[in-house]
Amino acid sequence: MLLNIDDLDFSYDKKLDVLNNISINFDEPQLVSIIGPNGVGKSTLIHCINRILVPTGGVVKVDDLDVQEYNLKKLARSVAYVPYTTGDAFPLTVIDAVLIGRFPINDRRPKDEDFEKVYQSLEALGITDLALRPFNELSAGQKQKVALARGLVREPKILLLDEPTANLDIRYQMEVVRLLHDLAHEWHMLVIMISHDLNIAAKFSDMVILLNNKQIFVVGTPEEVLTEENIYDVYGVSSKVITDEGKPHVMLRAYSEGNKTNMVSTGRV
Amino acid sequence: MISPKYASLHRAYETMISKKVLFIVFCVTIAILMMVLSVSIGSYKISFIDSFKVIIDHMLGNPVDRQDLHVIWNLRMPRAIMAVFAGAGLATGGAVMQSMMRNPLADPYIMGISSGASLGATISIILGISLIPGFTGDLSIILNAFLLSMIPVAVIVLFTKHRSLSPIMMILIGLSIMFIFGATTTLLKLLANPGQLAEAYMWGIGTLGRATWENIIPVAVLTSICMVLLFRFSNSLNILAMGDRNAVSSGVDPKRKRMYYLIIVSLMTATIVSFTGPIGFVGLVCPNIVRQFIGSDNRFLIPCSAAFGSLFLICADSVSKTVSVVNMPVGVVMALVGGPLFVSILLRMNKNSWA
Repeated sequence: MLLNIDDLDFSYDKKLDVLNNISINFDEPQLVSIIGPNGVGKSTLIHCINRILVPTGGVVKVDDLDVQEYNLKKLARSVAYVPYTTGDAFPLTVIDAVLIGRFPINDRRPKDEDFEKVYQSLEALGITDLALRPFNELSAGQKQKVALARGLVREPKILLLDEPTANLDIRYQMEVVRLLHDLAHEWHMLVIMISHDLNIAAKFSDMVILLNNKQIFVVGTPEEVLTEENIYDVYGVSSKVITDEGKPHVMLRAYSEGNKTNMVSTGRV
Repeated sequence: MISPKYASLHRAYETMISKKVLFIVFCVTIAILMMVLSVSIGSYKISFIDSFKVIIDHMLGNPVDRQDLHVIWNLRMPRAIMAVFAGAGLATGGAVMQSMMRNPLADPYIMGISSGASLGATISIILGISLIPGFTGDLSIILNAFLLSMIPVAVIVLFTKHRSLSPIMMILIGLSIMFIFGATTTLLKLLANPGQLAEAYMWGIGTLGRATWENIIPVAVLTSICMVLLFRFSNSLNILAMGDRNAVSSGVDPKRKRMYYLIIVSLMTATIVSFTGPIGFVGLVCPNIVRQFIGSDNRFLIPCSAAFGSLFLICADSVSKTVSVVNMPVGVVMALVGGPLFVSILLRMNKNSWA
């Protein structure tokens, strides 16, 4: 089993539960989206997979081995992570910034093979023309792509992304998520991304995990997960779900009765 | 092999890299030239050629004028060598601290190393106490300075046994210790007689004038070892500069690595400072100047900072020797000349080397 999460719990200070009884398995290369309201534990779940956080209960296994038993560098060869923000304090050129992603594989002088992978990643993301530019002179969207290239460059088995489309305009959102879907299948990776855009997630994901109240509310194909009932139960928002290009498309209802009562009852006016 | 479709891009990248290497070679060359030149500079007048002759003749065992020999061989040579190692070590320490703390304002002294050394020296000068019993005079000053300058890092290591510290917390703890040490030093000075006060004051300024053949050996050996180690870690340092989450997911344990590098930097800086007193400015400013020219990749930043730090300290010391009507301390020269220089470089470069 490529990724195996079994009865995972996580809490800060043993008081505040963030995740409870999360169990899920993945074996096939595919694009998985994690969706759910703010503060529901999406990032926490991802951080438990790549050991930024240590679960308070249960196990996470990559290739049938508990991630806690991995040496950190060995785990990094299998699991890459693209954070929400890339806070590089001292910017490098784009090539060097991506080259860093090869560290778990080669921590010494970069070889031709390392450069080849860097150039391939830049090409895959269509940012070869930025290669020699300093990272801090790029736009937010370009930086996001460089961060993505840094995740891709070591050809991980599992690629984790925390809102990879956050800084991108709609065209690049489409482009990047489509690319993630294609790369998942072409490079045989399990790509798991956190998303707030239900429609982008629906369009390109093979599988969607909807988190609510510290637990997996429902998991399945976009059609199974993105229903009017589920969206109302989890987000408290009324919507109309239609089918477009064979995928569900969520249209939000601004003024329906359900929304108003919900806003008032939860105090979020 | 790089495939043909990427060949031109790779060539452009390699050109960029060779420019950086060339700049490092340039800095090293100038530093060596200045080191040689600095031997002939000082209040005792002797020409460049003559001072060279003295060195060569002495090495070949030929008879040399006693006074020339004393000034050139016993005073200026060790001083020049001390400048090279101290400059290189302090600047390397600064570059490493900045990368791992992710803060361009960090330098080794921010951890309270220099104020620890000052306190140690003051304890020896004013109270006459050697923390390692049995030593007196200069040796007791040096050992006291070294021991106390290692206290901040020891405190931080002990702290991290109980809880994890973020870079900014480390800096704040270092700064607090710096103020505690500073206050204690001031307190001790209130007890001192004028002679002791003058000595403690002179020690606290920082000078290369105390360099001898004997005391450059520990500095040279330790600084070299630490610099080579830190240079070997430049890839990990690049990763630490990306933030802790990025580091973990790139296979680097940020907490452990940061502690490890902090110990190396502290050891190196403490050794230098024990012999020279606190020479400021090099650690903070040299890496930041170098960043303007070759960027922040530690693979190049560390060697270039080392070379530039040496060059900078040698030049400042040469100036301080030339205008030494009042025995101008090298730290003063550096700040007076280097400060405006740094500001003008910052304003002229017109690009932002910090995020």
